[in-house]
Amino acid sequence: MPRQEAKAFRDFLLEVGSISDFTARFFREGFKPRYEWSELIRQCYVIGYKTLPLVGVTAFIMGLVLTVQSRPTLEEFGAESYLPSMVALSMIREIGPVITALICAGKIGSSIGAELGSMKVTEQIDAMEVSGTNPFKYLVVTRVTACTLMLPVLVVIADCISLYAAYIGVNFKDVVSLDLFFSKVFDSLVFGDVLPAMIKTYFFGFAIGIIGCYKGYNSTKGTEGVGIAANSAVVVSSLVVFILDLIAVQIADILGLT
Amino acid sequence: MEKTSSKIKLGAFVMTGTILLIVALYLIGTKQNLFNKTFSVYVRFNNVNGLIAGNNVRFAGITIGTIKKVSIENDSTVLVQMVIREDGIRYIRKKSVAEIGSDGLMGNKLVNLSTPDSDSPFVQANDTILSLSAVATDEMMRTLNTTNDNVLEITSDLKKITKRIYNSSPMWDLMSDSIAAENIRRTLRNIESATTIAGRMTTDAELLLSEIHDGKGMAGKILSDDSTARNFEETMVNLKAATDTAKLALHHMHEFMEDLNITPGPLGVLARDTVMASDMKSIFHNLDTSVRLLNENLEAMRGNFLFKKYFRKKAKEDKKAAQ
Repeated sequence: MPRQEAKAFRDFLLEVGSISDFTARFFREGFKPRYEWSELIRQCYVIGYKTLPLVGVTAFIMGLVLTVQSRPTLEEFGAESYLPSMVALSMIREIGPVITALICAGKIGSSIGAELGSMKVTEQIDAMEVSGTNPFKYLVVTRVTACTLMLPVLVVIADCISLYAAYIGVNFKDVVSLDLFFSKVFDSLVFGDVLPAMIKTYFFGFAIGIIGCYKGYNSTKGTEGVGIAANSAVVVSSLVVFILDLIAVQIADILGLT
Repeated sequence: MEKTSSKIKLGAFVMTGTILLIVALYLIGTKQNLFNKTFSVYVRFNNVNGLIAGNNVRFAGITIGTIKKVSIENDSTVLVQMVIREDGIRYIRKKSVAEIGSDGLMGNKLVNLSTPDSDSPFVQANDTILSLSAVATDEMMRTLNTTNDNVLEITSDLKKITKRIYNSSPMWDLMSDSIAAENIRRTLRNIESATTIAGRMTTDAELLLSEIHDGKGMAGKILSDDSTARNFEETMVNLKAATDTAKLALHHMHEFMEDLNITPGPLGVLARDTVMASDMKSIFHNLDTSVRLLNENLEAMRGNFLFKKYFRKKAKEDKKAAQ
């Protein structure tokens, strides 16, 4: 193996080991009192509520576009009546959670990475340690927990918005009542569609939070490091979202939930 | 103040998400009959054609339940557990029939229930009802494929026939020949009249057969009358007796002929001597001639005045006797 590739592989393993250690520390610090409730609620507000407009608009567009784009294919089979079912299954099982997670990875991951990175390079984290505050508990645990808790809520709301958008999309060419549309939607859904999708969003949120915090908390090289931290937080957390999605699909398949 | 406002917004946000999730789960649960009183009814199929747990159960086109479990019972039977809602179970009877169908051409599989016998008692929980074999799409496609092959063969033959007709100049001549058309028309008329006659003949034959069957007419009597059969039998017996008698007579005749040949009597000589036969022939010839001449003499005597009176008197007596 060439030396450069060996170094890259070694760096990769080091990064994985560091993230694992960081995650283990999160669990150690997270379950230990004292809990930073007010900071957690503030982070929930910032991460959840403040992200809702962006997620909502994206979900609305996704629902509408998916409906309008799927219609010609279904029309070829004379199966337009399956449009609500198809959009519902697509959005709730896959597109809703993944798109929301990617939006959050972009907005929240970069924001956490940049915020903690700038605090790191300006030595605010060190100052907190000196003042007797546990910076990990205050900065990392609250953000990761808020991310983990808020992402499923965002996904539920995003799914509903996208289904409403699909209803509007169906009515572009058909006349379907809201009652009939949602009756068809829930006819096609079973718990096996909703629950695995909801469970995996907790992992998406946790991954986005932990990677954003890790990248920011361990940033170096001054202001340049802040940019790198923000950027790599988005890239890595987006990639991890897809990897987790793949694992979730495989597990759901093994458990017979697909 | 701002902190309180943020908390309220966050609370509203979280509550919205939670309520939406709960409502969604409730609606899905309702569709799967999780919150209704339900009854399990079983049905056995040879082939479920992809029916899975969660598919709908319909009665008269209305969804009244879902499939809870599909399990293989043995190598030829699949046991399907249906969960029927309380408001639907009261329409299902013990003799109801379950059939696997699909929701549209490409839709999910489902079980259709129907009740051919409305007099049978209502089904109870955990009862098993009858099933009808599903029409498999694969089987339909196979049949359709065979039909297509047949149609292809037929059209191919038809194409050949059409081509032959098109290339056949006698056929076109025949088609353009008005005399031939008139002949064909006449022939058809003749065929029609022949058919009518044949029909009439058939009717007559049927009538005749019917009469024969009923014992009417000579043939009927012969075929149906017992006495005729008995007479026929007697006749056969008599015929047999006559045959025996004739046989005996022939035997006697044969014996007589043998005696005639052996015994030197006058009859044997007469039969075998050719010279005598010739003399006899000459004698008979002379006799014939004499008789004719005698007749002529007698006619001449009739005309003689000596015998005229006698013959007139005799004629009168004959006429009187005749009257």
